[in-house]
Amino acid sequence: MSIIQTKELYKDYELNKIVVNALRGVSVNIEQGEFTAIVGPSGSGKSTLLHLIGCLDTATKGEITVDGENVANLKKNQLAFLRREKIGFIFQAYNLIPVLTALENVSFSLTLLGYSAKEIKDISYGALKEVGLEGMENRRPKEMSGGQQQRVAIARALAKRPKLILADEPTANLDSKTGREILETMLDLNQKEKTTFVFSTHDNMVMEFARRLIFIRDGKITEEKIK
Amino acid sequence: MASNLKVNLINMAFRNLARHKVKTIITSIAVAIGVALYIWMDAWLLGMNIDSQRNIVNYEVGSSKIYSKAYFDNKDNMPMYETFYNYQEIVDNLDKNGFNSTPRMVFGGSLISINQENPFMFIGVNPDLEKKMFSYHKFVKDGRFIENGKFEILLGDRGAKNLEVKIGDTVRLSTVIDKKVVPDRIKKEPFIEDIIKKLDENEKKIVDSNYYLTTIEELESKVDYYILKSDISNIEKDKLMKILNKIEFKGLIRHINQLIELTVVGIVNSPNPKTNGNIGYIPLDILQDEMGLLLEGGITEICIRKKGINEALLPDKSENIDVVKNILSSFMDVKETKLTVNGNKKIKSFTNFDKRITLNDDLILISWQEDVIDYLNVAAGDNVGNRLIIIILFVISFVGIANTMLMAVLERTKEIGMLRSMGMTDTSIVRLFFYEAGFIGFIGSMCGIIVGILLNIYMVNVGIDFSKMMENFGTDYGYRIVGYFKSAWNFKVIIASGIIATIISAMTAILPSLRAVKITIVEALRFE
Repeated sequence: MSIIQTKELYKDYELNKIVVNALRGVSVNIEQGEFTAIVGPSGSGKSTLLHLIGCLDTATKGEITVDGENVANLKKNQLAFLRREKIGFIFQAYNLIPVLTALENVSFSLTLLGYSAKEIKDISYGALKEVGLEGMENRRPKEMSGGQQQRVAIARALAKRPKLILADEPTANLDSKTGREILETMLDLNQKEKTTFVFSTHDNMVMEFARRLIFIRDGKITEEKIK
Repeated sequence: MASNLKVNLINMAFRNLARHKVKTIITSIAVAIGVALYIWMDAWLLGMNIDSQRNIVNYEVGSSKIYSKAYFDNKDNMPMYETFYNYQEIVDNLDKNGFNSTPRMVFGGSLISINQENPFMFIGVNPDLEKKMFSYHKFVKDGRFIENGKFEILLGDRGAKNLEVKIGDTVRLSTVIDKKVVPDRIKKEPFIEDIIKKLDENEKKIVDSNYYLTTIEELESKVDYYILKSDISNIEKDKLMKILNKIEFKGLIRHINQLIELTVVGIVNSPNPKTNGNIGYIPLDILQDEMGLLLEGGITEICIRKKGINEALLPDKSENIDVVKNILSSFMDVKETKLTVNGNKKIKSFTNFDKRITLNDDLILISWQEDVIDYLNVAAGDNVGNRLIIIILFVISFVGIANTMLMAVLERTKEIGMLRSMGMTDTSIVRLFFYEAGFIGFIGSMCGIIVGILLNIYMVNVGIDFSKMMENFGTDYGYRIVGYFKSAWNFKVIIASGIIATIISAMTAILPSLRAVKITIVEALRFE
């Protein structure tokens, strides 16, 4: 069953009064439980595609279906609910809240789902344990390494058990050892939980881990590889 | 789920406030200062107004007053010829019914000492009744109060200083006695055309008898002037005056220069600056004959106040003019006329009375508010001005808060993007910032209220002593207060200022947060 379907997706945006065609007719189909990387150089449109799939931005033209829902038909609030319940994000810059502890950062996404305080606490501890941060629950982001911060971001995305996790260059700010550990963690979760992972990357290590590679250049899919 | 989310937003708002402790504290302090300042100033203004009004009632006016109607209509010019006579019955009846009253003769002139001559207002009073009625006699700082039958004067402290006199000094009161008299001779034309034709038959007879006239024809047959009987009795004279007044014939005013020598026996310095200025209190009885003002028993006003009242309180319903009217109606012809709003807007805005009470057609009974309506208007104008200044300060502090909120929202644009990416709705984000700003406003308001109350405790019980400053300026700031300016509790304003500050504070977050959720999530996440 496909969790993501895009048809003839176009995205134009204006940069310094110049129209940039970031995506030019991208059609892609991603099945539930895939561990997929969208690969391409900087400016190829891979992050834009990820943002459109994650309903963080709207397409200029084309159709996106996430878990059977055509996002073009959804109102702003419905899109927010879709993101809240079905999608987790991992960003290159982690995007943790600096003044919150690791535990609080993870808890934060759960508060939106209306869990009880006890449930939030239990799930957050569990998610941090899953990413190997047991005992570091009360550390703030600045007291952790880049790898540890990215693990917190993964735990935050995982905690609500979404169907889909979108990771925008998750290893870009990490050394290779930490990057590998992170990817191993994500692969492990993919296999255990059947969570769909979609990466945007130009990192060879990510490509090595990914089970499917979608190559993109100048806003168009140029090649696909399934391992 | 929705209700859970609501609770979570409040929790999140609290947590965010805790996260940004310094900002929360600074912004709360700004709110607190605004609220405390407002509470303090409002209480001060209210205190000054209440003190002023109390001083007006206790030292100057009483709770109500009776004037001759003609005097009241021209009160600002102190027309001493518009006197009335038969007041003893009024005083006695009020006394029997639990009211103090004091007849007074108010007139202007100048007071001359060896070194100075200054314009003064003089009040002829009955010392015994005056002491029962007003409290300024308790504040005779030098000497004693005036006594009946003696040519002596009690001066206001500032007035005495201006004149450079002390107890025992002799001063000369110089005034012009304006005496309304039934004219000896009336010119034919206006008399026939303007007066006689307006009279009814009975009134014509009275006029005729006094003018040796029996008919209009006889009047018209006279050549130039008509000679008035020289031996008419006072009663006839009164009746004639009433008729002449009724037809708006002012009669003739005779001006007589008068000089009265008086001994300064006391100097008063009461909490009401009006009693301490260029004012002189003189025994009423010495003004009656040719040695005084030729009053022949006339007075210009009667001040009225209920017996045994608490001076700290302003007059209540038990001594309003309706009560006085009811007492007087047993022996006087009382008429009540509705006042039109258009003609008497200012009176209506300050008093509960939208009517005019006349007694025997020629006297008028008014409330203390109506008597000092000009002061109340000026005080209200001052209040508006002062309140505007406070409101501007209030607004400035909230512009600061709005600015802080704008910066806070801008700084957290990336965080807003992250929250939206995690599935928080735009409405929830705006509400989150609304709650945060509201909590800041609430915390600030509570602190402001506490500080305001602490300031007020001091201001209500002790106040600020401005006596030296007022002495130096030689003025009274427009308020009827000397010395300590005290505040008064105004709990409605205290509560309202807290609520309003909280609401305004919460509102300041709406615009910046609406602006923040307008940009796309991707733009917000990239915001630096």
